[in-house]
Amino acid sequence: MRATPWLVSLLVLGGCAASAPHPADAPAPHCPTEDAPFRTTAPQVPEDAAPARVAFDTFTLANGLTVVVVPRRSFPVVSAQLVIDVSGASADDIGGRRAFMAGRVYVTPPEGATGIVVACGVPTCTVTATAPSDELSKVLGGIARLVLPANLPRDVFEGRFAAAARLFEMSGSDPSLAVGRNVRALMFGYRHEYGESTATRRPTGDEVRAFRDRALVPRASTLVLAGDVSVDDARTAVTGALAAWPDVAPVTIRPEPPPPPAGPHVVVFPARNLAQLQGLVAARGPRATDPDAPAFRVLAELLGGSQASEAFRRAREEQGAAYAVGANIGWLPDTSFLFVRGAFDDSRVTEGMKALLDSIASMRDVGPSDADLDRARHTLLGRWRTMTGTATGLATTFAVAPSLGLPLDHVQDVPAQVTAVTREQVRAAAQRYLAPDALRIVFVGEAAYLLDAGRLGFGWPAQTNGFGEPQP
Amino acid sequence: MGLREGGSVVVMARLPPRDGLARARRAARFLALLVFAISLTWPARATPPLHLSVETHQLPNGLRVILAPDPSLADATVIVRYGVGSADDPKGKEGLAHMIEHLMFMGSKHVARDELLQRMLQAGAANLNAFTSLDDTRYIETVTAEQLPLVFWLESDRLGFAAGSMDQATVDRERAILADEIRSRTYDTVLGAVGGVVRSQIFPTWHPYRHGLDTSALGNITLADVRAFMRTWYTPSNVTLIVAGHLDPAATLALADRYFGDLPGPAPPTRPALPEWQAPDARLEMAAGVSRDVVQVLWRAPPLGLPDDLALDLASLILTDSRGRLQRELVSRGLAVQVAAQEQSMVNASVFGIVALVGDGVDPGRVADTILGVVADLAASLTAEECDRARAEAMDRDLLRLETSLGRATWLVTRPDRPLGVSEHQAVQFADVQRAVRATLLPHGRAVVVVRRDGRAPARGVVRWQQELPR
Repeated sequence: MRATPWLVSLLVLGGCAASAPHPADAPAPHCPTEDAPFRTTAPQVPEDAAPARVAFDTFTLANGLTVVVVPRRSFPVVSAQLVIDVSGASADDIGGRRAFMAGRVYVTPPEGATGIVVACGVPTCTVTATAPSDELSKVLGGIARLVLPANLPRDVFEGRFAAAARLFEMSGSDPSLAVGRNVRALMFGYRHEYGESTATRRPTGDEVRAFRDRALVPRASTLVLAGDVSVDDARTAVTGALAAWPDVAPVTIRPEPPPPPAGPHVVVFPARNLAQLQGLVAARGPRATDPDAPAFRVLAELLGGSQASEAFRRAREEQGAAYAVGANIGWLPDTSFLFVRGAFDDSRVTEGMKALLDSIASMRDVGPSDADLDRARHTLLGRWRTMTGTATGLATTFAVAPSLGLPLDHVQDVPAQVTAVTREQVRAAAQRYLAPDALRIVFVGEAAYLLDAGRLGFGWPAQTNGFGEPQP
Repeated sequence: MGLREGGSVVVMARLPPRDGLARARRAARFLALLVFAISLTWPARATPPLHLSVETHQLPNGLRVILAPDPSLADATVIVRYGVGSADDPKGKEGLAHMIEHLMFMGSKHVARDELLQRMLQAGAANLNAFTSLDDTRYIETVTAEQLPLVFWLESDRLGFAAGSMDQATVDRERAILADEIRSRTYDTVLGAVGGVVRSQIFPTWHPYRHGLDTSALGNITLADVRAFMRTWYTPSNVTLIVAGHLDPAATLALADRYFGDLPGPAPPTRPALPEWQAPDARLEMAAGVSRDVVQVLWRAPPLGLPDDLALDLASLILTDSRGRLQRELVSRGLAVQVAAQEQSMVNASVFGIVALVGDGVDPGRVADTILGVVADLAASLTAEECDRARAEAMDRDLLRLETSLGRATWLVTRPDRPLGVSEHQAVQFADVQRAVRATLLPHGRAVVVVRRDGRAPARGVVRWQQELPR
């Protein structure tokens, strides 16, 4: 459409003017407004109100199971999340392998229990289900069937055990899993509980049985019910379903705090048949309970949390070197790690990775601009509002807190904490955690390219396998 | 006027001149109450239908506005749907619709490059994204009601004034990024490009759904192509603005009128009617860079929203939900690691597909034969219990989708005529599933494809060779 000055168009098309007379029952002609003030200037909109506090209640069953109820009665859905802290029972359980096997053998429903999802590793086993609220007892019954002691017939146990072992071994060649495993191995060492290793022998069936009996216990568990349920109804339903879960004293061994990263600075996992090269920069971060955890969260957002973030802007918008660019934080009970990643065409990987590193350096050396910081805070708050707007999101938000050592009340403080983060705090967090020596780089991609390591331009890399273990 | 549909009422009102707005709003409120009253007449069920009101309006320039207010939600989701998708790409310019989706974030006449994303994010927009399917293109954001003026300002500016703001350098850069996206989404996934190759077996060469997802034609796309395509399809009468969630319908409608009401544009071209066609009978074997052997079976199925399309949703659950027949016959017996079935509903023709990841050391041919045997037996041996279970599952899924403003807006964007909150699967009966299976999952007109793992393929999912097998 040809640009027409607004004033001129008013004169030419006089009938459009608000004051121009026209028959009362004739359609009012629309004025062309291409350059009207309301088009040339963005509307002023008010700041959003702070997210409302989330009401919740807690109670404890006689067997020690902690139950959190977050009533949200406006929609007939309820979400249940059971988080079992299994890290205490697995001091030598590298990469949560016994937890994984126990999860596959005991907890993963082979049939029925539609909608129940289970994930087991270190430090937690999580069982999740969301359903219409009139099916609450069905959901809790499904969870009870999964966690209450079961004497599995020997052939069923053996069949599931063998399948789980196969699945674990096969996953070593999966490039998408290899990225995360290599990061953990670099961050914590592949022999640490938070790493993952095939070098650890496969646990025996008896060890998995023993692990289950020690780990999947109510006193190490928190059940969150969020959505269309009252506290009284929740108490009745949970007691009916889970009061029979035997009260076994949980094992209190905690993994040793991971040592500082001591391995190579750059590793490559040469996968086969990938069209793109995955590049990732990672570093260790604070505990979720540390005072600078909110600043670290905002820092990750500023680096790669959205389409206006620093790494996205540099790698994609300025260089056109990648479609997918992002950053995230993995929180663990006593530590965390941040990673910034991109997926690149071979020919663009060096400049793309330099863009990621430059974005980190910029946060460390200069810090964010006021505008960028303000936008990051609003983006996080918008995401928070969406997350806590659903039963599943509410349940997840409350369920992860205990395993990270956070009080449940912490959930109420997140918006205020995010809003209070300053430029100086972000820069200080970047300087503390993202110093050049603290950064580690992982490449996963086409072997023929990666093995000619000089091309990458990031120093001589060490070669690993899909679990992050060093290779000759 | 009210259009009775499926036990509820869809409010259809062409937006009158401004002095008639108040009357239209009163009418819409009345009809929303009527929706509520009529919805009460639905028969009892385990999970009762929700009573969610919807208003549909049309601005004088043809742009449709659909509003689904609910004050109990904390936010509102906006979806701007353009009735143009990848199936409309000109021949030799495949990827054009998708590239324009990218370019729509690159600024418009009054919005500088980067400004749209920055302003949206400053407004706390969540779910900020866009998608291009074969049938349409959607731009999405979730905000509070207070931010809707800003969202409408940005969306209306890119609808009205983006085409003139494009430049060659931006097109060239997005071409590279789009190629990266296709590599990420197509080649570097579990099945990689195999899915597109298999789908092409169902559609004849002239069919717009035969469209492949590859990068080969991106280099042919010019700035002139972009502008011409936008002027043809990115026009108000080809746009539906959907807003669902915490909003004041009258104020939102007035906002829509203010920002979108005067945008000019011709009517979009009518898509040509497609001739009748029969899906070919294909049996193929191919070698590709997949992580394990795969068996896929596909049938042409009835278009989106037809009764058999809904019935086939239930058939897919009966076959592969956690208690499904193929779970028992394939996964429990170790013949497959995973199996899934889906009715992929589309406007012109749907595709009913079954995919199985073959177990270690298992002959894929045996897996294919098992799938065909189970499907052949399905109509005759279907039980009422299976149907009841699948219907309950489908209805639960429909309900869960409606918890969020995004879920509601997405519900309305796919089928705006469908009552919001009333699961259409509720009405699907045993005989419907039986009829749909007998009419669609036939022993002919289907593609049976065995994909053998081949580590020498140049990229994940790329087919190295394929051959036809005897049928």
